[in-house]
Order: sequence, then C-alpha cells, then structure tokens
Amino acid sequence: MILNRIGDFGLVLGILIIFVEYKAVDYATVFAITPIFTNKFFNFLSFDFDLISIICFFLFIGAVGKSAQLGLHTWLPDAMEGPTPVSALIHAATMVTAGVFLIARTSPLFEYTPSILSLVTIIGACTAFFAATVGLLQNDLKRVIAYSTCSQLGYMVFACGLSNYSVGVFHLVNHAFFKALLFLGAGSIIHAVADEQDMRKMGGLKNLVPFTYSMMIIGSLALIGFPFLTGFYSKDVILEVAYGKYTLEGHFSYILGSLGAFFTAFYSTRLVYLTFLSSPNGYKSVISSAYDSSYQITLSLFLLVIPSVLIGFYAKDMVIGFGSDF
Amino acid sequence: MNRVDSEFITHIFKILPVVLSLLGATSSFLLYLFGNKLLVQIKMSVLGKKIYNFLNKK
Repeated sequence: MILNRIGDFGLVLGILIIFVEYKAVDYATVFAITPIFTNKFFNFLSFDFDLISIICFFLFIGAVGKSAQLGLHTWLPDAMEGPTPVSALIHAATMVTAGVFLIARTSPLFEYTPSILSLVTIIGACTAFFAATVGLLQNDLKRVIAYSTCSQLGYMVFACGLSNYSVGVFHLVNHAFFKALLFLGAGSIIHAVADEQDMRKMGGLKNLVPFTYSMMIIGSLALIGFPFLTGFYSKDVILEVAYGKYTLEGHFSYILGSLGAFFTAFYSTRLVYLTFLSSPNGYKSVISSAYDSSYQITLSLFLLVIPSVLIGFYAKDMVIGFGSDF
Repeated sequence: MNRVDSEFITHIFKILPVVLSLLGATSSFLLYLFGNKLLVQIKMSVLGKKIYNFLNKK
C-alpha cells in the first residue's frame, strides 16, 4: 500500500509541476509547447532543476510504483494473496502495465531528457534481472509468476528507456496474453490440489490434469521466448534494439536482459517440473483426487492459448514493422 | 532508426538470448531430474543459505 502511495505521490507531483508551469494538463497542449521549456529551470529551495527532467523524473516515479520496478516492487508478489482471476486480470495484463503505458504516452516529454531516459533504462534492466533471480527461489506457484511479471515489466520499461516505445508496448500486449494464461492455469492447478500453492507439495500432476499441463507448457514456452511463440517476437526485438543502440546503457541492458532470459527459462522450467513432472509430494488423498477444472476454466484457458501462440507473429509487422506508424 | 540499426548487429548477439533461454530451460530440467542431491548440498551450504536468504528478502 505505502509503496503505491509513494508512486502516486511522484505522479501527482509531476502533474502539479506540469500544471503550474504549462498552465495545462492535456497531452496535445503540453507536447506542443514543451520545446519552449527546454532550457527552463524549476527553482525549489534555492536549487535549480531542469524543468522537463524534474517532470519526467516524477512521472517515472509514478511508473516505478505502478509497474513494480526495482525499489517499489514488493507490493506485487504480496498482492498474490488475492483471488487468481484478479491476479490474471489486474496483476498481469492491465493495472501493472499502466506505468509502462504512462512512459510511452508521455514519450514526447521523455525524449527531451536523455539523462532520465538513461535512468529509465538502467532501472528497467536491473528489474528484469533481479526479479528473475528472486523468482528462481520462490516456492509459491503464484509468487513465481508474480516475480516473472516484475521481470517482464522491466523489459518493457528498458525498451521505453531506449526510445523504442512501440517495442515496449508490443511486449506489453503479448505479455498480457501469456501471463493471463499462466495465472489462470495456476488457478486451475491450485483448484485441483485443494488450494495448495506450495510447489514442493505438488508433483505428478501431468497425467491427472493433462489439459492444464499442456496450457501451462505453452504459456511457459511463450514466456521463455521459445522461437516462434508470442514472447519470442517481442523479447528478442527488445534485446536486439538494446544492443543496436550502441550506448553504455544499451549494452548494460542487453547483458542484464540476456541473463534475465536465462533465469526466466530456468524458473519457468522449474515451475513446470515441480508441479507436473516430479514424483508426487503432496498428500495422497489430495493428489489422487486432482482433476482438470470445469469447462468454464478450460474454455478461458483455451481462448488465451491462441493469442499466446499467434499474436506475436501476426501483430509484429503492424506494431513494430518498418514503416509502421504505430 | 534504432530498429534499422538493430537489424545489422552481429549474428551472435542476435541469437544469444534464445540460446541462453534454451540453455536455461535445459539446465533447469536436467538439474531437477538428475541433480537433486547437488541441489540439496547447494541449499544447505553456507553460501547457498546466504543467497537463499538474500533473494527471499523483500
């Protein structure tokens, strides 16, 4: 709660400074008159701050809080106490990506502040890496997926920091589908094993919940960035543009992003192995009575698996293709 | 412009993330399939405990 308030406070300060200086808060006006303010300074407590930099810094604080970036990230795994469909909708697809959207939407402002863009890149890359390392050691099924969300948000943020906003937004859209699939799949598993969330007490579910197993495999492969699945088309491009930037922060984010990809693959496979492939470790009565969920749940999983496989391939040229004005 | 530049980066840097992803998945699978004793030893070592505690802190 307090972490979100810190982020909100930053966002409000950013908006207030825009209002005080620009006398307007609508996007079109602010973007149109920003060139006038490029060399203007904001005085606070006898210190002069570059106006656009300070605005973008506070807007970024808002994005850090909302998108669970390093420093203000701990609320996201803690929010996994909520119901799984809520996690699938809010903590994977819609709310947490608002920070990334904020950066992309206010990109005409950010483009005037290279120093803040560097900060955005470094924070995003560090989040992508550190959230992946923390995900390696989690035993709660939903917390693993939550840290994975943190990590993927890091990829989106550093793509925006490298001025490739369309690539970041493309990953945002792709991520929404396969992460919702993973969350709903996790919910289906938890439902099957009598509300148990500890992966160490699962195992042997491959033959008992075969449909959920296949959905989780596809979701995990899309998250890993397995070639020709959805995650591959956006994550790969993010890392390519990071290296292709030929700057210090570009190479820094490429290295951390690539290592993050290794850890993502590691914890995703660990999740699948401990849940489905290892020998059963739970109570015999619970494991033996596990079964695939009702058609309402399996249908929603099936509806999500189609875009998790195909949307990257079909939307790539439209969103990040050469000549696209997206 | 950056997207165009990224098309011309060295081939090894293009495929490295995919290679690392496949390596991560394979190593995880093999480690959990054959290396259970090794995993327990790592977890119970002093360094392993320190890393575990550090990564499980908020």
